[in-house]
Amino acid sequence: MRGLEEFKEFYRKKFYPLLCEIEKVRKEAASNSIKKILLTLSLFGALFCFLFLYSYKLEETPPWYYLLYAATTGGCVTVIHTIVNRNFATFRRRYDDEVIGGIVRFIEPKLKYSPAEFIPFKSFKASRLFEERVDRYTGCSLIYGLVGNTVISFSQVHAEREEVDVERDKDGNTHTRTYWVTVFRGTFFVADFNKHFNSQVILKPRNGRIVKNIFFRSSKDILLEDPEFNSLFKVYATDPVEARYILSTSLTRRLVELRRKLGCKLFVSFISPNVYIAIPNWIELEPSIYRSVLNYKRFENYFFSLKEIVDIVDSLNLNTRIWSKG
Amino acid sequence: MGLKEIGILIGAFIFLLLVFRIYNVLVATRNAINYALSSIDALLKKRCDLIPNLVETVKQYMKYEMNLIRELTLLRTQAISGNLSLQERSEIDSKISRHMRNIIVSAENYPELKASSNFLQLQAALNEVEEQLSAARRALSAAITDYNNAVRMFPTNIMARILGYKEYEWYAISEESKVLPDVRRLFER
Repeated sequence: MRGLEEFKEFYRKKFYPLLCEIEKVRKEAASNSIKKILLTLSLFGALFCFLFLYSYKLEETPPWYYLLYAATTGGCVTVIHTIVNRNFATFRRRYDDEVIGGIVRFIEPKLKYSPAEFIPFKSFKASRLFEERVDRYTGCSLIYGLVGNTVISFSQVHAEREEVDVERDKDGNTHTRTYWVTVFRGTFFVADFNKHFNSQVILKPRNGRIVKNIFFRSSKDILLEDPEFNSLFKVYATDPVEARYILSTSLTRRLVELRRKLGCKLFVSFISPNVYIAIPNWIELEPSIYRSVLNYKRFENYFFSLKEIVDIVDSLNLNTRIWSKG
Repeated sequence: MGLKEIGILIGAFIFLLLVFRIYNVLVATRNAINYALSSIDALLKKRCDLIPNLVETVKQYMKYEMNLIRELTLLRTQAISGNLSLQERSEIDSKISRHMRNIIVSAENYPELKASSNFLQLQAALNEVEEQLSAARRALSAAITDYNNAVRMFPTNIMARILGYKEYEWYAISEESKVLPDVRRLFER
């Protein structure tokens, strides 16, 4: 897979001219928008003034008159929003297809980028990594395709659950307060695992010390041979033999190194035929219409963040297909 | 009922829970050993089932390894015949492992065989079963460690003594598998 030096050359030779073109599109969209926004503001401002002055002619301002104020303000905001969306549509499309899509294809030519899609909730649930109730599930920036022999897909997802607090005041009236609690927010990675298996293995970050004595430990909590792996992950498995077949000594080492490389907690599960990895680290790929796109550092960060995720295939050696699963 | 009696009842209840937990831990750890042993048995059988296919595939190409192939067929017949002690079984299994490895290494000398899809599939199946066997042995080793710890450590050791549970012998690697393979001999073939 390509490294930083190759990316720098790619940026200089191919990417920079493209960014200049897209920056021109952004500036044109911005100047068009500003003109139209100013015109909209003047029209709605005039209407607002007219309503305000007219209210003096009325003996008493009727309640529906305030609705007219609200409708004028709402209409103004909607028109401005539509102007911005329409004017920047080309910029956004080109930014997604050519800039982010270009970086993705530079990392791995067989990968595709779909900005509005994300890993479906069915896959998120199938991973069994987060057993809590999820009431709202959103996401973006789906990257999918083949890396060597391995089919992968990953996106940013945000899973939340709704909580309700009921409070009683002095008079005995109840007040409910609804708020959202994040179950998971970050990168969710799914890949086709290179071995056949039937059982389920779930790895969660270990909080607290390792309990070696079986008297105090659940029989489903499996300790493996690597002490560093045991200190980082808690392993739950439905079949201890198959868990060790999946988590070979080399894979446990690779997981320790991956955890170190990503520098954050990892949630991993092996549920046939896939490996699911949840990384609580959000990668923001949305374009900003207010900032210039001519910023090398931003794209280098994108390159590193995306490459780190795509590299999981190599880190976990998923392309080695020496077993009966082709 | 006075406070004293309630205290005694709660104490007796906690004691009973503790006894159940200890008993369950001992049974569960012993079952884990049996489970790992039966997995090893099933995988060894699975490996034995691959031998006829391997023999059929390689015998058309390999002219100079006929002895090795014949021996492997004989070993398989012995392995599936039953009536073998644990030690005999373990020795036959390690001989089968060695012979299969040798056949796979020898295949390097026969490019047509190496390219055959049948052979590639068999090689993949053998890799898989060998890795599964290694996983089952690791599981057995972990299960024995847990069981032996339970038999030795407090408070489970008291119940283990009452039930007559003794420490389990470590899964012994046969003398043959401890010997490093003679790579030079393999290349001289």
